[in-house]
Amino acid sequence: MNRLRNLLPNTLSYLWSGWGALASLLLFCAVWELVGEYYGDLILPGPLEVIGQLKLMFNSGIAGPELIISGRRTLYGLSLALAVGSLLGMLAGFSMTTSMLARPLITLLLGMPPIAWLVLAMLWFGLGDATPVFTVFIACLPIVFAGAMQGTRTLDNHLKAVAQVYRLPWHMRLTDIYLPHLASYLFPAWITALGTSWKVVVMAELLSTSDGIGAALAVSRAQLDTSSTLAWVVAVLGVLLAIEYLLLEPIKRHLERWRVGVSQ
Amino acid sequence: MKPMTKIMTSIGLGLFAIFSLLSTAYAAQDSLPVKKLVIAGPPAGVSNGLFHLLASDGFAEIAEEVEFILWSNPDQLRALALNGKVDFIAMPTNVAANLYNRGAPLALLNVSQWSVLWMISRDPNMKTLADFKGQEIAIPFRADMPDIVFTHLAERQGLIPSKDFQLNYTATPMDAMQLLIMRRVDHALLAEPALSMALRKTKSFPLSVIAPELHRSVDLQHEWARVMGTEARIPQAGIAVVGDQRKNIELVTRFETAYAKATQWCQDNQQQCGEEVAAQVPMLSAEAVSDALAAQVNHYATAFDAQHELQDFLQILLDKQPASVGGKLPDINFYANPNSQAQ
Amino acid sequence: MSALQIRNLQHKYALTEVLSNINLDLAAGETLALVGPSGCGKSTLLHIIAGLLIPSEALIKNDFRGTACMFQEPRLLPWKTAEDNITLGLKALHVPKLARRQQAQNIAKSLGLTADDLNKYPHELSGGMQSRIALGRALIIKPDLLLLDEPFSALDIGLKLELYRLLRQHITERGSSVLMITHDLMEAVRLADRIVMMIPEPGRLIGEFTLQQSHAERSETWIYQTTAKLMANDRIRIGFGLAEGSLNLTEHLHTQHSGCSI
Repeated sequence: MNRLRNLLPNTLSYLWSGWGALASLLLFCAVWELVGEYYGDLILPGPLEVIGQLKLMFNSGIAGPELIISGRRTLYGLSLALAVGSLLGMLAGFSMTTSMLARPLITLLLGMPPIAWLVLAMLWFGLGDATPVFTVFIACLPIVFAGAMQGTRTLDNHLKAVAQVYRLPWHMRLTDIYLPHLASYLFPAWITALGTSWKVVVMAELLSTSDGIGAALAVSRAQLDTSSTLAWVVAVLGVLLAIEYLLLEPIKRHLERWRVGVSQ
Repeated sequence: MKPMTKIMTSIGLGLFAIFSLLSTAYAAQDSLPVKKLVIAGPPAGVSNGLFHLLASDGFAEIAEEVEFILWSNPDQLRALALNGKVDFIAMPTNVAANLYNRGAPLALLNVSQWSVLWMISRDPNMKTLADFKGQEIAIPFRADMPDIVFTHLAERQGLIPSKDFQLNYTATPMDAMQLLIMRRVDHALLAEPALSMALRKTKSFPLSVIAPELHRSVDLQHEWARVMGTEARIPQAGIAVVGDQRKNIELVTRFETAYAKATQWCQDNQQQCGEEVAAQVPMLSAEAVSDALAAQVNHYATAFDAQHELQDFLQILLDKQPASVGGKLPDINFYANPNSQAQ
Repeated sequence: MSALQIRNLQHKYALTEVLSNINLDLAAGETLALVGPSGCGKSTLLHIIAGLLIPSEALIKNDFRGTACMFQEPRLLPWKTAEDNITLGLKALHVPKLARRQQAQNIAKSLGLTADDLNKYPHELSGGMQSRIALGRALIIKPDLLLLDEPFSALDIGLKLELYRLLRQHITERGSSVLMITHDLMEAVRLADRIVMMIPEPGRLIGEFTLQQSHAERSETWIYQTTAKLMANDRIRIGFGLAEGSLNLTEHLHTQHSGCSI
């Protein structure tokens, strides 16, 4: 009953946040248009032309398949990174020794530019799907790992004591104590990983595959087709924004409602 | 007027007269078409003539000062073509047409590269494209000129590239070369001088120990002749004149003459040319450059004279990948006319 | 027969001896107050009894079936509503949801919480309410042994008296034993049957005071008077550092055993 009562204000608040984001984006487009007019079409076509080009690409059936291919690779690489990273991070968080061992390795992994991994991946996996998937995996893994490890390590000892005194069984400890605390660390890490994964997939495809958005980007760049290039970029950004606001934002609001409170 | 002012005026006028005389005298001596010449080119055969001119002070009759800019990717090339500061750029013909059609202020002056596409293979017995049936081939620059020519020639021979070959598109020729060296692929399509570089590299230590024996294989230009019924040559690259200097007839004519001569010289003195180029472009080796020269057909034409061949070539590219030439065939003003006053 | 018996408890933290030679008995239904200055090891002792710490050396017999704990801070789970926090212990005992909800609503009345409050998250509630929820969490599982680690120290006097009343009510109804730590002598006098005093470095017992008056007959006047008497006691004054002097260890009612199985 409570949930229903709060559905309306929650939905309105969610829509309002989307409205704010939309306004900000439109402002950005206005600036883009201005700069584009100054430099001319060959260097920087304006947003209307680019969106027109994008529509063309969708209608002629070019854009859809490439998006699906890139999306598929992102999904595989990201899911692997989320699963492995979260699990290993939690295990590392439980053990002091593992945490100490892991810290410098994470710094190393985070500092390595994905392009270096890509070169290695091309050597190991050739030019198929595995190369971009691997590169995404290795680029996102340290982000998720670090978040999970920090989350597990910082669990309030006070709450652990409560769990012990009230004799919470292990599965209750997991669902009622560890996971909710962990979620507040994991979720931001997962969102960062999502943004990174798309960037890395496009970069990997640009250099190593013959299909997907990155590969299409390479071709339009070689053909000096700036508006197509920008159209692909807009497509990627559009997907990112859609996932962020349509999928992740509602989940985040649901998970974080204990911070904001029922009354808001 | 006061006496002081009178004297000052006289001195002033006098100085002015002297300076005018001097400057006109100076100007009379200065018959060069332009003070500073800025040229650009890629690390490829089309720039050979330019490098020779730079090494032998061949621009003395053209400009006081010459600056050379090396471009290595299409973004750099586009920036150079549009920034208004470069006078001549060596580039592939389809890229010139593409830029022209998209509004860049240029005109193609000549075509000096007519046979840059070759197959490289582990198997020394390949004679035509059909021999590669069922094989995996590495091709750099997907949807660009080499890919389009290869596909076109294959189709004209009755082959279906997507089915009869396993085409492995790589981002750069270097990647294709890596695949060859690591034996992940046995054949590749390369352009000169990348091809000669690859052959030289694998014959020299330490790669010669582990790398497979690679051979220069099918000449795509010969396939072109066989399949299209024309000469064994394709108008692939040349010099474009850019910006306001298109109207500078004196400059354009002198440049054209100098470049044509220099290109011929390179063809006649392959080893020295190789050394000159390698001295200016560290990424190329002297032997590779001279090998490339040795393998090429010796042909040269101005864009105006080669109009017909260019249009046939560009039409093929237009049919397959319209975006690679800018969506249409360029109009008559694309071909620099040395006789015309109105450019 | 005491339900909790501790003999020869010794606890070291790193190389420091934190607790030395602790001998303690707690009978069923008895309220024992542990007083002493800061750092004398009261909390450590309580943690050991709660099972949160393993002592270096000890003989402990603990017959109490259900234990609940209240800490200095409310220690509520921030991502659960007040109701879910209160019923945490019940959920651990596999009590079904409907029954949990019912019990929570019942105890909420006596805690002074409304139905609305039950649905709020901890950060929306005041400190006093959070303490009440923590008390509710402890009492709802009907424990035999209630361990209190200065839970009322940060509350205002009105709230304190209210919660004391609730506590006493529960103890009378259920017959639970309570081991409470406090630095407030008056609180100890109000609530406890027996007061045991500790001093630090190392933590050891130095005095035991039994309060004869029954709880029903403890008037405010009696409480003030008894507190004043205790405050004047030499041992207590020395222990709290209010007077100079040295203390010898208390004589226990139970002689020391060695190696006897309990």
